Amino acid sequence: MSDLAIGVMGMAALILCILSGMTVFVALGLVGTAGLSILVGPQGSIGLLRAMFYDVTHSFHFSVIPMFLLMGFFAMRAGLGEDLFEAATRWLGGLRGGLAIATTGGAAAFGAASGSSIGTTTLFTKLALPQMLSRGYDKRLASASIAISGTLAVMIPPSALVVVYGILTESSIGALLIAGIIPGLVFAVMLCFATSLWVRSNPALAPLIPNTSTWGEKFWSLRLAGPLVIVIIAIIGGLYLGVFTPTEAGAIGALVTFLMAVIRKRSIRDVEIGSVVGDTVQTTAMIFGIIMSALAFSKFLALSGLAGYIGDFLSNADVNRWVIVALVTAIYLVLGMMMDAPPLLAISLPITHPVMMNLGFDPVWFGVYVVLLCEIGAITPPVGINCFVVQGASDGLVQLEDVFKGLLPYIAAGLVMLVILCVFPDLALYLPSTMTN
Amino acid sequence: MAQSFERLYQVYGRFVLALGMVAGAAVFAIMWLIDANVLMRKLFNQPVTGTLEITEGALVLIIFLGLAFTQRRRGHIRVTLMTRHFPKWLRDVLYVLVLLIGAGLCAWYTWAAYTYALRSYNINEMEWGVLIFQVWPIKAAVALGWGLLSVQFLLDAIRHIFVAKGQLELVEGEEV
Repeated sequence: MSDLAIGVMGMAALILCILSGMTVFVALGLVGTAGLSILVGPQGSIGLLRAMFYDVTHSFHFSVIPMFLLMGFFAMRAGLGEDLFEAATRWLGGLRGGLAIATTGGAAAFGAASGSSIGTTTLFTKLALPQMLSRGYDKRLASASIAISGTLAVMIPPSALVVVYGILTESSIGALLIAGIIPGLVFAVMLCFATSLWVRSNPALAPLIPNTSTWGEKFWSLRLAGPLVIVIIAIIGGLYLGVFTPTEAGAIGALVTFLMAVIRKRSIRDVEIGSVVGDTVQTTAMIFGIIMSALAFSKFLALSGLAGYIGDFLSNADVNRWVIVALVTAIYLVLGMMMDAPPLLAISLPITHPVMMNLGFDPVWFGVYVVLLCEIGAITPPVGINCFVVQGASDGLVQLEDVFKGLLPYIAAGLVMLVILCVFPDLALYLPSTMTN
Repeated sequence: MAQSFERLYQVYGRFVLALGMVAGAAVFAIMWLIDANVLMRKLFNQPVTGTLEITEGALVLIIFLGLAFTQRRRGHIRVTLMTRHFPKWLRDVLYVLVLLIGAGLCAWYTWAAYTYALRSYNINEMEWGVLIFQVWPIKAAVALGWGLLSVQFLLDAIRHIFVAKGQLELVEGEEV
């Protein structure tokens, strides 16, 4: 059997293993290890794997992941989300669909302190959903606007998913993080726009609520955004200016949000440090489990020649490179319907990344593009993880069907955003190009 | 039988959770260390000696003490999109099977990592940075982490046989 055939069989085996309910990192590791053992022998595979386990995890650079996660969990404890939602509601609540727009605005701002899509979605479901429903908002609008808004945390730095992309493709993590800022903000505005258009076309979805906040109250609410400004300056400013590395930015952000949580709770005990670090360890181990096994799988695909074959075939195909981009986009959208973002990246990047690089695309641009695709995947059924989170955190206020039914305008906004990124790649590339190294 | 096994399962679970908390303490500690290093470097041009090496070693501990801890809390990602439509008996069989495969794979990784740590010990491999120290304990942590996860997968598989027979309940957050 040729190496290429082994690669194809490995790909099929991987999909079968994942669909059989195997833990994703075990499936990746099993196929990668078995494939390597066939191609280079058991001893060769042991040699490759044992060095890789150590090299990937023994890294100052990759310590950015637990630091970003820690920062996000402390930001939740610090109540930053509550503050931002209140401020956004005072300013935007009077618009038609204003609470849904405020949710998007608040989640985007909170995304600058947290890199967790699931965490942000959970938080804003608790905060915004009861308020919207009690004021007569349609369940579909209320729940779907939260599900999509949660994904903004993944694009706007800090983002653990962006770091995962950086590790798997050996791209600059700092540049990737900075690259997400403008597309993240543009996407947030587009989501607000989508809500506004949807509500204007069907006013029954969201009754107009008079904004009773005085100008004084509005400006006073901005004081709540103050702590967040400190975090943003600490993290993004420092990274952009090259004052410190992403790992250091994460550690500073974690310390700032920790101190905010202590001040907010007025006691260290109530910050529940044990629970926060436990959640951080759990998510870190989950992510690195996938990264390690994905690298094993990726080595196998590379050695089998399958990744190179597909790459050469697509790169040499006599078609416009944007046709390939459309094909890659379709693959991500379909796979994104079936699995979460980290395994999606792990499975796909060994093939799609070399292809896109051969076609002359920038690795940072592709990183932002792929993360946006993952965001869309996080809300599309049947495995739209954020939709499950909204339903799960709603305490029975909405059903899964409500969330799914409301998604269409937001998926459309996501697709338009993909086109915008293709037409204006500088949205992602401008800031990294002006960064101080 | 089921109750005896459950006691063993809980004891091992507490051990794994305690190691997870050690990893958690390491996360919190390196946050302070990295911050102190930045502060000292920027303000006094005097970085904290060994920050790089300690952080690198700590990440290994965080990840590998966290692997079994995460499995105990059912925190590793699985896709149940297809299997949830299967009859219960088939789901139970598949679930036990994939857990056993996980145990086997991690046992293989344990062996691979153990040989790596042993080689490092035998040649007295040293890290020659600002701090000079032996590398084998960090490499041994990799083997320990895979070993702990292998045992956790095995216990989970055995436990699910009791669950399938109706003698035990699913663990919190567990989906078959």
